[in-house]
Amino acid sequence: MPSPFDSERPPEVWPEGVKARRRSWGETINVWNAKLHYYSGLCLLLFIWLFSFTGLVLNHRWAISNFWPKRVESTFTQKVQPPGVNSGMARAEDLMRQLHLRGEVVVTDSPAHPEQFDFRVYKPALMTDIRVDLRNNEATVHQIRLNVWGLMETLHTFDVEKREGASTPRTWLLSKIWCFTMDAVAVGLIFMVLSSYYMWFRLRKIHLWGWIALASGFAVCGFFVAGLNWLHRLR
Amino acid sequence: MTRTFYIWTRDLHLYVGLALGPLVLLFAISVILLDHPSIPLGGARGVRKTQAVVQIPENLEHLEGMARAQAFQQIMRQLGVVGEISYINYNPNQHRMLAPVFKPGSEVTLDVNLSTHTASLEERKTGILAALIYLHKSPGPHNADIRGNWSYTRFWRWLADATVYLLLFVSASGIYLWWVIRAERKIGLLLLGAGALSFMGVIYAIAL
Repeated sequence: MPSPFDSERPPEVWPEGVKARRRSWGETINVWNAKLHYYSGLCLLLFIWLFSFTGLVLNHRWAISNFWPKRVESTFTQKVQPPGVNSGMARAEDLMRQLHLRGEVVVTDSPAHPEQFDFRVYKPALMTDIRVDLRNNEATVHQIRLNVWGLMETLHTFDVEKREGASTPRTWLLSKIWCFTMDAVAVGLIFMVLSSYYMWFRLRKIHLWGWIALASGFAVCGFFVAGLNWLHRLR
Repeated sequence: MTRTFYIWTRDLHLYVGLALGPLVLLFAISVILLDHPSIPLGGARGVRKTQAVVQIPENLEHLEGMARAQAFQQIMRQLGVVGEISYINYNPNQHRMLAPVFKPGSEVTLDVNLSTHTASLEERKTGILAALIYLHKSPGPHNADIRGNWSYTRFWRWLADATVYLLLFVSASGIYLWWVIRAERKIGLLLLGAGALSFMGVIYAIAL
């Protein structure tokens, strides 16, 4: 495998009348595969570190990252104009405009009282519960603000956990952008893994250790994804 | 010295990356599935239901946390059920205990009547894609006092942690390997800057 230290060769000088050799398709693919591998890694670096670190935090309840006791709660009431629409989502959006709230909306399907309208607005590190008294046109807004640990943790799970089983599409532009970002990081990682396999396969000399590393990775993964079920079916 | 360091870093980046690849694929594919709940996950539609008489461990209803989970596993063993108990819901009025038990690719709901010593069991095969999602979220932050009540969950927790540490190593070594290629520094720095800007921009906008 060549190292950059080996590759410091003098510039090629072609005799007059001889055209420089063009790269073949295979060579072009090799060069761009390697380039795109580290370009995508550099672009996604901070996102990968964020999701990796927060994944670790989510799997361990470390005292330092326990943000819930340090949350800040506040409540205020405000007079609102009665929403002129009937659908739950449109009502919530109208009230959010009046209350200057932004975020992803969750509307409860069946209100407990007909003269009351409840909904919830989510943002990473900020949860807002809104209860509107439709008789007195008064909204009670309860907010829970989380610290930086809470922000990091909710960025990892934002708009994923709450969507489970929900059929309503995302309404907030920024949660759509965040969803796109998570998809982009995932696709980038998939590309980086596949491009690394390609680069390794081109290095014919050291296939044996590579096969061992690759096989051990797939064996462990396969054991958890499908093997555990299969193993317990055998018993 | 520099050359030896380079060669070691390059080889470790390669081999660690190859071994880590399948786990990274698992987490990345499951992110897409989690992000788009409309993607069908497959799995069996049918549910297998069975009922059996079981021996109830002493004081089961008075135990708490991991002690209750371990006692509940005695019932699971009698029924041949294995997996991670997600939570145990005790209804003192009906004298019943309900517990979903998960393993990658299957889900069992156990409903134990402590008065009649009967257990009803509902089993559903959830399929490979659901297994990826389950593993992505496992062990997770919920019900921390009983999490890891199945040995394979504890092993998976260790593996998920190792994935993170190794991914951090692979990315740090990748930065070094990029930096030594002088011709790629400028464009690399530009891309790194663009990534950092979009990272901070999106987080600032979403959390503001």
